[in-house]
Amino acid sequence: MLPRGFAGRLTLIGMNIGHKSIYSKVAKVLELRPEDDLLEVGCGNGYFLKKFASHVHSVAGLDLSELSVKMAKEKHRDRIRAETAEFVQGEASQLPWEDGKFSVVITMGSFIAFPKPLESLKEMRRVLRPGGRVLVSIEWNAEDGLDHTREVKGYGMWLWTEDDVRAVMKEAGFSDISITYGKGLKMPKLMIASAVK
Amino acid sequence: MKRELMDILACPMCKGPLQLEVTEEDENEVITGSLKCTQCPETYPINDAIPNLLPPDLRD
Repeated sequence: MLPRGFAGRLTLIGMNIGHKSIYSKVAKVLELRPEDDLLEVGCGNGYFLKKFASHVHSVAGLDLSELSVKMAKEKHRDRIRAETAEFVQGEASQLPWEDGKFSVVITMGSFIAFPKPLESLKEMRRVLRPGGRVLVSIEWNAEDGLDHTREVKGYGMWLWTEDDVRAVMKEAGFSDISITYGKGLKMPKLMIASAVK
Repeated sequence: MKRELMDILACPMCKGPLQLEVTEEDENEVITGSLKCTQCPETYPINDAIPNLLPPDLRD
């Protein structure tokens, strides 16, 4: 269910707190450069992009939820005015950008809910320039030792193994696939997969 | 939505170029309008300065 109204705003802010500790680990893997054009698929309220924005040339975010895009736009008002940030409502497996517009594409925490993970990764690859980097962080996964039966049944969450992630990224056309692990709040083994176009 | 976004956006369905039609605009951005694909029959709304580029079957 997509976040809406005041309760939706609280949910999105609550998600930020849960994901706070992930930021430094992801930043280390990403090694952002000043010339990077960074896209986050499933950007929520723009929390991570706000942190990354000062390290790159431009940021862009896409989210299914209108409220998320609205909150992200509020958070990035100055950068939008300066034309170094942009936010659109859209879906991961049908991205609304021309080919090769970004040097880095990330998705953090949303991949387990993507209805079409392979198509989404193919789209993320399409909008990357040659040599561009992709990063997928998978907070809950089959390697973390937790019981996710409720989430799998309730939300249709995908329970990714490391092998499955490598396979789907390879099938999407990525190379140099690398997987590392971090820790977050209630996320004992947060999977971070990165690769190159 | 900033007009400059038109330089890089594409139709999510067919990846064709989009054509902007403005209904309301302030000094910063397009507030209301639409993005019409020049290659396929789809049109995407812009409301509250947010371009809704969801595939049509996922729109509310």
